[in-house]
Amino acid sequence: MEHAIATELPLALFTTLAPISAGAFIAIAIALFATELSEKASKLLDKLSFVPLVVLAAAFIAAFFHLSTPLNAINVFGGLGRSPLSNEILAGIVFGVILLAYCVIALTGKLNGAVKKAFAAVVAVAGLAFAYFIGMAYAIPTIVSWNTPLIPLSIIGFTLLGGGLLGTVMIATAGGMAEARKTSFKAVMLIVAVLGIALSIGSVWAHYVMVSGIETAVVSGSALASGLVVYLAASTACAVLAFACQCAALLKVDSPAVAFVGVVLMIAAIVIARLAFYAMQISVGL
Amino acid sequence: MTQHGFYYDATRCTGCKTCQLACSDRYDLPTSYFYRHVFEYSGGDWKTEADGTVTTDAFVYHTSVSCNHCDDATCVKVCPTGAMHKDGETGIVEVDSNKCIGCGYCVMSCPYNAPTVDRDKGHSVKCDGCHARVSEGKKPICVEACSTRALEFGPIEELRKEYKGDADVAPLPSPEYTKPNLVIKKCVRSKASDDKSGTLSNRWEVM
Ligand code: SF4
Ligand code: SF4
Repeated sequence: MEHAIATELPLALFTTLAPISAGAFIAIAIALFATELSEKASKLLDKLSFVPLVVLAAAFIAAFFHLSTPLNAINVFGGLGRSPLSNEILAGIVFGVILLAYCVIALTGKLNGAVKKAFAAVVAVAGLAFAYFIGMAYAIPTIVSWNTPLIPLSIIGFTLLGGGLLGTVMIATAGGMAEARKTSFKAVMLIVAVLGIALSIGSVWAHYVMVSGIETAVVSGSALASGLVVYLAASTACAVLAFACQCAALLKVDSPAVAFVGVVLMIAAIVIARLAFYAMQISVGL
Repeated sequence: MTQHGFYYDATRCTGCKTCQLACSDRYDLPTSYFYRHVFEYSGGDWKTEADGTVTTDAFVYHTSVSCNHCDDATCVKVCPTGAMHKDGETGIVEVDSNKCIGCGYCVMSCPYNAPTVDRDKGHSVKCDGCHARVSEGKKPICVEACSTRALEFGPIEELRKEYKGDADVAPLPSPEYTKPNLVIKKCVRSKASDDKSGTLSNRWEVM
């Protein structure tokens, strides 16, 4: 784990912040479809659309610290279609551009009614697609411990729960929570949160079991994984608390504070799970 | 294109690591990484029979490996920038330092532990088959340095015809993954790549 912290922290931060940014519009889109927000809340929510964009920017800045020569980054599209990393970055940029367009048009006040709902849904879908491509970046046949659908599933789980929490913070800050709670928003977001926590925790532990069964000439998966149990348990505890925050925010609490605490807990949960993931790299060879 | 590759003779190698050091010396590498690694694979046990006699199946052997300039190079496949590429003439896999961002994706994916990202240089580095020397008609420095003549380099079809053999040797991965251009003459104790009876015993030296 020490090695992962020393070498992979920028990537762990990227794969933490990016899903949280990518999932925020799932909550926003659901709120727009389910609820007629007051004009005041709706305007404020439009202004807050920049929040996931800022989180996304922070994610990309963190990723840049991973690179030795970020100035050559213009070349990253050279591998589109072939390199899972190029695909991931393109998916992130597509998501970012759609999100930026939404923010700018929403700010002009011209985004209303069905068009606004549809646009928010497009942002949400682009975010989910980005989350999928983040997970697929690790599906490399020569890395036996990473080449599993559990990785994209875990990232999608982080996106649903972490992003859902960020969206809830935005809606609550805009003052729309009391209204939203009276509609199907509450039930649908609870389902999203349950799915999110199930995927986050389920895939992380299923991955742990999988890695425990890998033995190569170089690495004993069982020894490696057992050294990480305490980190995975800490990550799970943070995720469960974050889930509890989301339930409280959806069922009862109007103030954004509780969902905000949930976002912070989820950041901790994902960063720890991601560092443990990087520590569990086992090659088919050396 | 004439694909080039390496030949390694496990019946000659003593595990002295001169190849590894000559390479490091030639390219002035820091002590934190090598282009060529000599992997030591060992295992087996001692067994006392009912009559008191002792038998053993203990074994150890070495495998000297650099980049294998693979036909199905995973490093080339995953590289987002196209910096990691195959030379059109020799089939040697090289890094274009003007394109590389130092993301380390090639490092993660290579199952031979061949590339390294040198953060001081700002890009991925690895064996280029001593391209410059070979184009002057010389042999790669590792080949020339080996005192037991355990290494050879050249057009891989010629090496395969002359020496026979493949790269299906533990602790290397199955050659199916990347189709390495490496011919290994096995020693009596050599095990296939799917062998589970031994371990990489000089792990801290080579990983
Ligand atoms: S040995 Fe590794 S670095 Fe060299 S070509 Fe094969 S996959 Fe790429
Ligand atoms: S470190 Fe350089 S050569 Fe390796 S995958 Fe990244 S861009 Fe390609």
